[in-house]
Amino acid sequence: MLTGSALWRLNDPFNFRDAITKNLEEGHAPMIIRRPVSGRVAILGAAGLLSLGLLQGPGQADGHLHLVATDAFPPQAGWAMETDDAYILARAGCVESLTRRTADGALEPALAESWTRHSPTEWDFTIRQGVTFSDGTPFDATVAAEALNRMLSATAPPRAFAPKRIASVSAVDDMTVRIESVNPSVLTPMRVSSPNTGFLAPAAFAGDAVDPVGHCIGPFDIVEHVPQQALMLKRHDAYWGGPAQLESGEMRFIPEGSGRATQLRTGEAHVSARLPVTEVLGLQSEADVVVQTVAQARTNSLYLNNQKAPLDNMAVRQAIQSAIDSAAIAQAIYEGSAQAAVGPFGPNDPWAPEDAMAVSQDVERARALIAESGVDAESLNLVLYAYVERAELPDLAAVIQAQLGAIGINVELKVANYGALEPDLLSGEFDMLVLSRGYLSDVADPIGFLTADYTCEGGYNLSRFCDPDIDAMVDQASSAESEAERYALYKDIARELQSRAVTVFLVHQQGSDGHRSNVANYAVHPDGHYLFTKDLALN
Amino acid sequence: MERFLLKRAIVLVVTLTLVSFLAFLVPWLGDTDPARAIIRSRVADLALDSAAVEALRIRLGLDQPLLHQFFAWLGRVFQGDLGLSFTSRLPVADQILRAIGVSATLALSALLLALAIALPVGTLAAVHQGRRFDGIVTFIAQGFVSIPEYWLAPVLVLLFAVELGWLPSAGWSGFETLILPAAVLCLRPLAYFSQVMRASMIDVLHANYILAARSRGLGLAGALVRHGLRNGIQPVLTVFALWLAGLLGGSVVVEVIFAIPGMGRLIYSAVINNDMPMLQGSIICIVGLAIIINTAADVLYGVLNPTVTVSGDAR
Repeated sequence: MLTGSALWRLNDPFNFRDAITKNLEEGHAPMIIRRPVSGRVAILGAAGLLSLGLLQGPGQADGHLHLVATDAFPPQAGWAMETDDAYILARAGCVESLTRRTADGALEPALAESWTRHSPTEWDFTIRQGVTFSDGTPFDATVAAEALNRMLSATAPPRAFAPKRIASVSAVDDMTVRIESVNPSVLTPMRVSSPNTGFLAPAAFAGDAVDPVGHCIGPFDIVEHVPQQALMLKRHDAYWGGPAQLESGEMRFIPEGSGRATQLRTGEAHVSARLPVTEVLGLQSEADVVVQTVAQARTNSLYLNNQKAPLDNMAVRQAIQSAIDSAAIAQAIYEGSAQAAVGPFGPNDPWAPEDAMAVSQDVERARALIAESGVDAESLNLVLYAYVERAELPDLAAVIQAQLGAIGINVELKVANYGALEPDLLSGEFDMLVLSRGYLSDVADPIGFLTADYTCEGGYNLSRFCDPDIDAMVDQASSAESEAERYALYKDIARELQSRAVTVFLVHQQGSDGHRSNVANYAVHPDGHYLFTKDLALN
Repeated sequence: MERFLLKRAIVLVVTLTLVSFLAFLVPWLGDTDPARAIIRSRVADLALDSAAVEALRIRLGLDQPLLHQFFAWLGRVFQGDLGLSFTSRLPVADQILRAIGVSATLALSALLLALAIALPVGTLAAVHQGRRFDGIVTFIAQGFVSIPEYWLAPVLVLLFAVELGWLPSAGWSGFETLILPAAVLCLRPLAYFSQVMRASMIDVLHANYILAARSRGLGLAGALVRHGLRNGIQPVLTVFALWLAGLLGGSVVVEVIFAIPGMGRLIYSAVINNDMPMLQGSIICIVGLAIIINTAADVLYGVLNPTVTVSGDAR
C-alpha cells in the first residue's frame, strides 16, 4: 500500500515541494517552481504577451528578507485618507498617526511623543523629534496640522475625526499641534490613533490624485502600486523607530477568502489576513501554518424595532431573547469561531460587565413571557431583514426564524443587499434585522457606538430606542474625566440593554489571520490597524 | 464595403447610446441610495452621517434630474471624457484601459488555445465521422460544455497549486499566472469550436471542389489543407468573435477566483458600488468592442470567402 508520502513522491517527481519548503525555511520569498521543460514555452509566451504590453503585475522579488502578505481589500478610493484606503496604508506600514493603539487596547505614543490637556476642549501633541518621510521631508507641527485639517474638510470626513467632534487643528509651534474638540473630551488622543489620521508627505497630495508611492512615514515605503493587485514595499531606512527587520515586502490583494487561504497553504504568501471561518480549521491542521484568532470589537445582533408593536412590549422582546440559542448559533453558523454574546461588548473588554453572561435558551420561559405580554397571538407575525454582504447573516436569520417559530412567532425573511434594506431601516419601517456591528468603529472606546445606536437622537438608532436615563448616562460618560468612571457607566448601559432586551445580542465575532511558521513577531491587531510592522521578521 | 462599415458605425453609436442609458438607470432601479452606496464603497461603515451623504449627493450632481445627469454625461463622452469614478475619483478611462488589457490577454489566450486544439480535433472528427474517434470527441465536448467554471477553477488550483505546486493559485503577475485561468476559460469555447469545425468540415468534405482536388491526384490531407481549411474555418471565426466579445467582460467568475483585475471584476465592483461613471464607461467599452470585433469578423469572413460580400449579397 502506498503511504501518503509515497503518493506524494509519485506526484512530485522533481521534488518541488522540498524545494519550496527549503526556500521558505531559508527566508526567501515564496516562489513558484516551474518544470524546466516548460521554461522555454513560458518565456516565449510571456515575451509575446509582454510585447503586447498587456501583462502587468507585481512580479516576484526574492530577496532574503522579503515577506509576502495577502489581504482582502484592494484600495478603492484613490488613497483618500478619509476612506478605508488609509487602513491599507497603515497595514502596509506606510502611514502612522500621532498615537497608536496596541493590540491589548492601550494607547501609546507614535508620531507624537507626548500629549497634554491644555483646556477641557484642547489637547496639545508634541511631535517626536527627527521624524522624516521617506522622501526626506521633515515631519513637524505644520505638516501635521495641514494633514489633519485636510481630513476635516473632506466631503465625507471619517467618523473618528469629523467636524462634528473636532473644531480645529493648529500648529502652536514647530513641534506642537493643538487639537480642539467641539465638546470637552478626553477621547481626543484616541481619535488621532485612527489610520484615517495617518500622515503622508505633503508631496503625495501635490497632483490631482493622492500618490503614496515614495511618501511614507512608517517603517516601510511603497515603491510600487500595482492597481488591484499589490503594493511593493521596501524598508524605510530613516524610520524614527529604527530600521525594520524585513528588507522588503509585498502586500497582495486577494479578495476571495479561500484564495488567501490557498496562498498561505501553498507558501505563495507568508501571511494571509482575514481568513474565512470555513478555512480556519483546515489551516490549523497544516504543519507549517500558524493560525492566530483574536476577538474583534464586533457583535452580531438581532436589532428589534422598539417602537413598533409588538416589539414595543418588553416581554415580547425578552421572549425572543429567551427563544434564541446563541451558543448553538456560534457553533453551527460560525463553526466555533464566534462566542455566544454576553451583551453588546465582548467579555474581555474593560467596559463589559464582569458578571455578563450569555442568555441561555429557555423556550418555556419564552412562551410564558409571550403569554404574560398580553399580545394577541395573531400579531406575532414579524419580518426579519438580513443583508447579503456578510454571507453568514442570511443563514443566521434562517436559524432565528426556526427558533422563534418554536414559540409561536411567525417570521418572514427578507434578504437583500444592505443598500436595498437601508431605506426601511432608516425610516423605522421594519421589525427585526440581523446586523453585524463594530462597536469601536471610530475610536477605541464604545462611546461613539452607544451614542449612535442607543440615544434618542442617535444617528444610527435603528432600534428606535429612547430612554432619557440612558441618554443621561451616555452624556455623563462622554464628559467623564476618569476612565474608571466612564467604563462603569458603559457597564451599566450594557446591563440595561441586555436585561431589557433592547437588542438581542447573538455572537461576538473573532478574526483569524494565518502565517507560515517561519514568520516571527506577527500579531493580529484586533482593529486591523497594522500588519507590516518594524518587528515583523522571517526566521 | 464602405456602406457596410457606415451602417455598422451607425449601429455602434445608436447601440452605445441606448446601452449607456440602460446602464445609467441600473443604480436607480433598486431602493439603494446611490450617494450612500458610494460612501459605503469608500468606508466600510453602515452608519453614515446624513450631512456627509447630502454633501456628496450635491458634489456629484446626484440631486439633479435623471435626464439632466444623463445628457451631461453623454455630452462629456462625445468630447472623449468618460469622467471620474465615483468611488476612486480617478479617471474612468485609465482604469478601463488597464482592465481591458488584462481581460483581452486572458480571453485571447484562452480562445487561441481553444482554437489551436479545436481545429485539428474538429477536422479529424469530421474525417472520422461516425467512428469511435468522432464519438469520443463529441462526448468530451459535451462534457466540457457542462463543466462549470466555479467548480473547475478550484479543482485545478487544488491540483496544480496546492498539491503539485507547479503554478500560482491566484494573481496576475506573469505568464505562469495566466495558465490556470486560461485553461479554465478555454474549455467551453474549445467544445463549441471543435463541434462547429467538425460540422463545417463535414460539409467541406462533401463539397465538389474537394472531390475535384482529389480527382486531380491530391491526397485527402493535401486537399483539406490546401482547399478545405480555408472554407471550414469560416464558421469557427464567427463563433470565435462572439466568444471574444463575450469573454472581454464576461469572465467574472474566473477573475474573482484567480484575483485577476480584469473587466469582469471592474464591472462587478462598479455595480456593487453604484459607481455609475465606471459602469457606463465599462459597458460602452465592452459593447463597442463587441460590435467592432463582430464587424472585423464579418470583414475577415469576406476576405476568406470571396463569394460572400460583407454586405451579405452573394455574387
